[in-house]
Amino acid sequence: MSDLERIESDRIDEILRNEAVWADPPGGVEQAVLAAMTRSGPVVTSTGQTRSRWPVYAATMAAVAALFAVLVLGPLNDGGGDQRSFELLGADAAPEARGTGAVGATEAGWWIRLEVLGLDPAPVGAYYEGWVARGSDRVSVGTFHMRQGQTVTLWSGVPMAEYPELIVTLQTEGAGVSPSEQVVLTGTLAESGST
Amino acid sequence: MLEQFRAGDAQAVKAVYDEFGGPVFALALSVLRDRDLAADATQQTFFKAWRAASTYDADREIGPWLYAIARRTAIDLFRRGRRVVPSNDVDSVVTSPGLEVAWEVFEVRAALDRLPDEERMVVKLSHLDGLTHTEIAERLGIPVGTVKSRSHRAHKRLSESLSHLNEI
Repeated sequence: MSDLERIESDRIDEILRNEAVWADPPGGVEQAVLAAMTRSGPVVTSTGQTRSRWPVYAATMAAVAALFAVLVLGPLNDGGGDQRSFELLGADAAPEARGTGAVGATEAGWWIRLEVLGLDPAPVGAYYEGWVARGSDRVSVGTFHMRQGQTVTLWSGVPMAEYPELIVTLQTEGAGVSPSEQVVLTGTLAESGST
Repeated sequence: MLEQFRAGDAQAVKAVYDEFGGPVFALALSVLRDRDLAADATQQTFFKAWRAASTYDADREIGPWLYAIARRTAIDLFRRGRRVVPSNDVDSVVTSPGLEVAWEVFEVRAALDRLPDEERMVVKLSHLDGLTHTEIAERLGIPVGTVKSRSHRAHKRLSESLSHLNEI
């Protein structure tokens, strides 16, 4: 930690160890802001005075969630399926990891979006792979490395209503296409629903 | 840029968000300790900033102005979550420990976002994950000397960017 001495502040060192400092906002926030602006229209009147903001703000913020769904999730959700969420817990290979997941239907399959905290970037020569599971059956839903950001989008060709478990494993390049024993995250979609 | 931001120009909004989205979210998460609430606070901050852009003095830096909006927004959400009775003295009713370091969190995150990706990763693995240079080299598959040089450059940049925090 000799480099830290150059910063000459224990307080900054403490902040650099704060997980919040490194966290990225979920995908979609920027689009929601833009959508709200587009919906709300200009603020300044022709006389240069601002209008009363709060009525517009309240109405707009109420519409933001819907606009977000239309503008961001809409293109993914055009198959008509509902979006559902679930929790992710760290497993033996990464007990500190955690996160949330959401799944929704499109015409071509199902998207699965994960917001992951506490999971290290995959080492060189390795990668993470998501699987949906039904009993001992596993279907791969994509691979990722976690070296930037916290949001991961996976895709499934089978419904999570039938494969309700999501498992993330650490895989080694060249070691085959089967799931490894190194499970880092698990989650289960609640029963009922079409996804 | 601010004029374009004020007009809701998509590219200007994206530029401001790209530069300050991370610091605003980090501040909000530090105060609120909840990703969903922090995302909500981030969204509200940029929306409020846009609504208030006509009152902003373009000669001043945009960062501290956005920080002030973000901080108040996070406090409001924190207070709502705690069901605390509103007060004009916003700080007196809020006890989130994250509030005490909100400005530092905002500034440190902004400084980190200005680092090249490879230097930022070394700082992250070193400070957040507590890895040694040797361990970072193994993790990233690069020579230890490269880790040291990236670390040296990154900390030099951070030291310069954050020197004003040491004067607080």
